[in-house]
Amino acid sequence: MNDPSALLGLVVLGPLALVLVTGVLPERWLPPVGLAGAAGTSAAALVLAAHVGRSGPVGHDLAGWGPPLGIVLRADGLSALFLALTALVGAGVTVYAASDRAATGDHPRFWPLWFAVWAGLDAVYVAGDLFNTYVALEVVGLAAVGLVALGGGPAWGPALRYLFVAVLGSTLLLVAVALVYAQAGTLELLAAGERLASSGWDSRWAAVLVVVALGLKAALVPMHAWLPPAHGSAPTAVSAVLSALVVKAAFFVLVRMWFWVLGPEPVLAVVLGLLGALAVLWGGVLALAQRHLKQVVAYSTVAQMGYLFLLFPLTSAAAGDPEVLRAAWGGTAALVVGHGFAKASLFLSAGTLKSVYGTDSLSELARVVRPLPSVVMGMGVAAVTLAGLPPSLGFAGKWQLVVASVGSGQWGWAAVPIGGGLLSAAYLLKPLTVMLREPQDRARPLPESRSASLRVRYAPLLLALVPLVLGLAGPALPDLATTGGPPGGGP
Amino acid sequence: MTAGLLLELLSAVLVVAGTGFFTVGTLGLVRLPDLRTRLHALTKADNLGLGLVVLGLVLQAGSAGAAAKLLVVWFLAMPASAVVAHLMSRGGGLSAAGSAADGPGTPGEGGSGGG
Amino acid sequence: MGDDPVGLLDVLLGLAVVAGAATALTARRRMGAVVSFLVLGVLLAVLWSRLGAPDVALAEAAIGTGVTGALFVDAVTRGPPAARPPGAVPGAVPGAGARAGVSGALAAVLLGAGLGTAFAGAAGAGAAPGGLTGQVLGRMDVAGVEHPVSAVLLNFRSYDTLLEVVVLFVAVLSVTATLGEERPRHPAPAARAATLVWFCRVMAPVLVLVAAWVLFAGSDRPGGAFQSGAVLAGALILMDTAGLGPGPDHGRLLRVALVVGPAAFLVVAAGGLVAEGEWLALDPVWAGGLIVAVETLLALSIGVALTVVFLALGRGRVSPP
Repeated sequence: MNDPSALLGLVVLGPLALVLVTGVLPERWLPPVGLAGAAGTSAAALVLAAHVGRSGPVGHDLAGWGPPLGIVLRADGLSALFLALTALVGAGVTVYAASDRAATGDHPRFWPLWFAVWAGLDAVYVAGDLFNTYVALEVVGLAAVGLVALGGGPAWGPALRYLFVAVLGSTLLLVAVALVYAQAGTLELLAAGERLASSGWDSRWAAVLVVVALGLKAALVPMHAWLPPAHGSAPTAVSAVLSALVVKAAFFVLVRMWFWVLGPEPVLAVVLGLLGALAVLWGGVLALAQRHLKQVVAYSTVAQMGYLFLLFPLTSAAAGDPEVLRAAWGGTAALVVGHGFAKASLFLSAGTLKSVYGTDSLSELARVVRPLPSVVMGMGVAAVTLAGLPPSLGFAGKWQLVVASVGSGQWGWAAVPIGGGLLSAAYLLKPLTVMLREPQDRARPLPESRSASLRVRYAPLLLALVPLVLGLAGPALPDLATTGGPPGGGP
Repeated sequence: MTAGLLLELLSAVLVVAGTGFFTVGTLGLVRLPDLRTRLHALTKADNLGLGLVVLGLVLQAGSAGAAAKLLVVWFLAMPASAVVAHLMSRGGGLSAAGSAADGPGTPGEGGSGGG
Repeated sequence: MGDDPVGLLDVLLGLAVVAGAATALTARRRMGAVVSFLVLGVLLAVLWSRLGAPDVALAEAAIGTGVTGALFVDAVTRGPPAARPPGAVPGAVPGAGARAGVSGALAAVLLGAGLGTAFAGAAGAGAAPGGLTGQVLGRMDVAGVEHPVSAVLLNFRSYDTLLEVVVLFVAVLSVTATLGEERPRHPAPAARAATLVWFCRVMAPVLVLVAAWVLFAGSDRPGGAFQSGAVLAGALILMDTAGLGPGPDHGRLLRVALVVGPAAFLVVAAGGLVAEGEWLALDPVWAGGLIVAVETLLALSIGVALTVVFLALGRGRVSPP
């Protein structure tokens, strides 16, 4: 393609077209069309990400109007990272969903809603405009609520609660955007950031609004209570997408607003770091206490998101030291990617077990390693990434966070990745040991099993292997993440 | 007095009179005992009150087109309120037999809770 | 209108809006809450006009009060009777009410503080950077329409409008996924209320005409696809109430009508890429015609979308989980 900037529009408008197509097609055409569409979208996103990695940020003026009058699309290193993550995890989940109808809640409406989420996610990542970010996040949130509701009656209550949280977050974000617009006079991200910086405006209240709004959507403790019921009662493919991708979109917007628009807020940064640490601890403890596999995985999401919030205090205290900044950004990028793959894999494995055995209760899943070794292996490999063992991306990420915290003189933050890793290992080993050992005498016998297709058994394992392979890729991720980095912030 | 001032005065009188009808209608809604009497008060107030307000605004309208649109508002509101009042007083039925979900109105539910 | 200083009327209006919202939240009966919500919607529409945003006022009145109000009333009259005190959610944790109150209060404080600082900043700073109004007005000659709001919605920032249409579409998908799509057969002609049928026969064509007028008025005065679609939805909902609306046989037609608006938008987007090198770009020569065409199909889709949401509720009582 001569002009790769057109890809910026394609990664959003392509899935949107698929929403319309899958909304009207008869049911039996949906899996093949869905697979083809996913392949096309992933390819476009990966090509775009590769281009950004090689040549730097790309921009596109929509409707032929440049800023500040029109909307501009822009992809920098951070966008490329998230685009690639969404493309690969999305493709994997689509393959799984096409192979197992139960994973989609056995409902044809899964497909248009899933492509709507994908379109919204890509729209968030390539947005160069503040209001556009808000609208794209709305698309993601509302489509995600619809997807959760596909889980049937038990999922309606959690879906409704998720809807309230999402709408509240969006409203607060809109007010923050209005405040920024009133001060900066433009809605374009980069220009707004420059004008705010040069005008010396005290952006504290806008920052607080943004943090609360996106903390709600990203399930930052103490605003996390909506997540485990919603992710736990949704259909399998939906849970995978929600935990791996949708909560990350809120984090992405927070990073964009924080570093590119609002400017440094040292006190708020420390608060965010503390809340992140609390999330790692609290989510981990709660995950240990759960008796159902899907709930363990859902609480694990709350815990793992906590690591990401260490980015703020670490960059805030870095005082411009390029090594520390690179380590902080690289660590966060590695954790984002690693968690994305590992969490999707875990939810898909849990879904396979539930659909084969009809239950995900830990007490009943003894010795499933015999009939389903690939699934248990997939869970084990995902656990390696989540617990932060080498050579996975999880290890690389945590290691870089420790380096950053030591390098900036804030030794305290180093305890979070280290301690959190132990907790993750604990709550993930617990179900794994159940699955590996012989059932106790008094335990119920394994329920009648349905067969699971090849793709369903191996997709989770393949997804889980990706962070292990990427962990060997070395500095590629931090380089990508910091291409076109924040003004005065990145190396 | 100039024609313009006369026009403004007339317009103000009409609008105030219309508002007066609305006030009386609201008083009836709050104070009358059951559904049918309340409907009686409301529909009288709606039709004539709205009409007077619209006439007063027509005098202030900038063009014949704007005046015509205001009158259309009145002509659309009248049958709508008449039909709604008729249906509500007949027992809320949307079909001849009345649907199961709607009862014969909810009179006497207490003043402040009445909707 | 938006430049007048804040007067007594505006203060009263603001207070009335707050009072309306408070009444809607604290009403003892669900119908009372719904009616307060409708009143609130009307007050908000007036408030938007006072702020100098007649397009938003139209949209608020048509969609926020009209269609949403119809949905609420339908839900309240069809749903299961309130067997427990209003406000209790099935399976709610004890103390949840208190927690909700605390979080609500916190949110209110945050919003109030945020908006308050904005006011303080605006009052103190004097001349603001000016925003984008001047830029918009300066480019109206190539926009294709004469009304600045329509130009922004469908030319300068058409991507936002596209995404917002997608949001509506997603809502329809979610509702039909959750509640199902089959529509019950309408009652036989003899069983329909004659008055309502007569009213529908007179009014529905008038409403369709008004919808068309609002659509085309959007070129040079407040109006446009969303408002027109809401009026169209009003006509269809009225027909459904009278027993004359879309039935089970019309599923295919409705689905096509739903899709045709966003599809047209996407086609124009792709056309912009091919012709001008940028997605959604509109050649000034064709801009006016394309905008009208897209808006017409959008109005149809939006009207059908809002109607489908209403029809989905008509499936009968929704049994609680």
